[in-house]
Amino acid sequence: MTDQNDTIENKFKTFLRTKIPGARELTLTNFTRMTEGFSYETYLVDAQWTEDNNIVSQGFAIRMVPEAGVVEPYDIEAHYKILKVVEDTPVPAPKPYWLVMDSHILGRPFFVMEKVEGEVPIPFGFKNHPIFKDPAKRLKMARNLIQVLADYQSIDWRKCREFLPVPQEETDPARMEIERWERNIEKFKIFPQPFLKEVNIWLKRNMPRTPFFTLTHGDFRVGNFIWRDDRIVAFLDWEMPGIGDPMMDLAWICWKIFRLDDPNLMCMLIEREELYRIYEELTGIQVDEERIFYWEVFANYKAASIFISGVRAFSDGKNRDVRLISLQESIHYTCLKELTELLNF
Amino acid sequence: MQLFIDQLLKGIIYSLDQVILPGLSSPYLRAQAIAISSSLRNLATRLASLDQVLGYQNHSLKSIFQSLEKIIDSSPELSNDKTSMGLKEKIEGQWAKIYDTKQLLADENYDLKLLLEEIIGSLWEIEDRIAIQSLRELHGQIRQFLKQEVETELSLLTPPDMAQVSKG
Repeated sequence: MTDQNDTIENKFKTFLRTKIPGARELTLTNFTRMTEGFSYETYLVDAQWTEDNNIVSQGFAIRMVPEAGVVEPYDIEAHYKILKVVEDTPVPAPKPYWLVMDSHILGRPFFVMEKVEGEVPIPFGFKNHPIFKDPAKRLKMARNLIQVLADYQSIDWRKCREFLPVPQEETDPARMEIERWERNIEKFKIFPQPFLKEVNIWLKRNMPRTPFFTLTHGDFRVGNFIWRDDRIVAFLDWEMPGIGDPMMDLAWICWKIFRLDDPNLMCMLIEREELYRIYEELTGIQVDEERIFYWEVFANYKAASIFISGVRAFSDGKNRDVRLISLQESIHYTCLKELTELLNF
Repeated sequence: MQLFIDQLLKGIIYSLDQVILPGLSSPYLRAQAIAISSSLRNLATRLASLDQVLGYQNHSLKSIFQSLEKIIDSSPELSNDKTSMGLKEKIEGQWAKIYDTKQLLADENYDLKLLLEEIIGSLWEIEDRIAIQSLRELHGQIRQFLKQEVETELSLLTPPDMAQVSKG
């Protein structure tokens, strides 16, 4: 365990005592910083205490805003509140417990949610995963992924209008997304970005019309859920929720970065036509391939913006996670290359 | 320094891969070490060819800007267009710059790309108003340059194994 982990663990223990006043003999074990995910700092810990002569065990996940990172600006309140919204729906997600905006507790704002046991399959190297090698299980995972998306998109977005920006016009979902990621490129770029300027203008000139809005997740894919007993038991990484175009999350599943090992399998799980067919069957929403294409172009632009923010956070010394540099080395230029192909450079 | 930078990097990478990594049990720390090793490897490749890459890019960008100047000069419409003339002025400003720093190529590359960013911002808008074939072709050349830039960057990179970087 590192000294930094030790400090956070002790501070968390003190915090937990205030949240569970009846707890006696509180102990923490298995305090670990997670490697999966690059946006928030995530720690897992198992707690045990005695309450009314009963021994209580509970696992917690702590998600803490980094000093600087890839998805600026970090809106931890929206992150927490969207978990609250999905709590009473069929969408599987960790149960959120406490949101703490006071930076004095752990050093930065954080929230605590349920620790969910299971595996987080990631798209990188997924071809070696037993599920990939079994077409039936692969399809089962794909269908479950689409079902979760369908359940999420069926939630009335009006429940979130108090904490998420609401699009007014049909082109607003695209405009709002472009503006967010464009702002980050302009704010955090270390070098001029003529390539992204060219793509930015294309995106602005080709904004699709979204006939109706749904909730959006912003990073809906393999790698962002916990899999246990042949099903998704918790969907993760709710840090970019929005109200927008349902095709955006569907296109994200199709993003080429998640199918580099087998370009025909979306998210390394399912062929595009089959994905569309199941999506239409489960949602009743007709897939619009032109919008999907647009959002696939956008996915690469957004990713480039994310990596630029990450590199800047590292360069400024505000986030010393070296993996932010790995992201640029492994994915950033692959995204740009994909853009040259999609837009016929 | 009493050794070459590439030899220094090679030694550090060896130490990370063979000595430090096997001794790390924390997945997070392992992921960090793998990322550091991979970044140093890419840095070594980059250092070896950086001047050549920058020199080539600077030459290509100057050629694009010279073409744009010629197109503007030869078109009465563009010569009377405020945005086009603004771009010409900026290009002339770039020609007047003198680079005498130790990082001559890098500084010039930065300025040239900044100018390209500005040109792209205006080019689409000019093309909407004034249809000139040579301008459209220049836009194609710019896209070609951008594509080559990406391909060059990719050729200098050995991507890390993201499964290892993600799982440690």
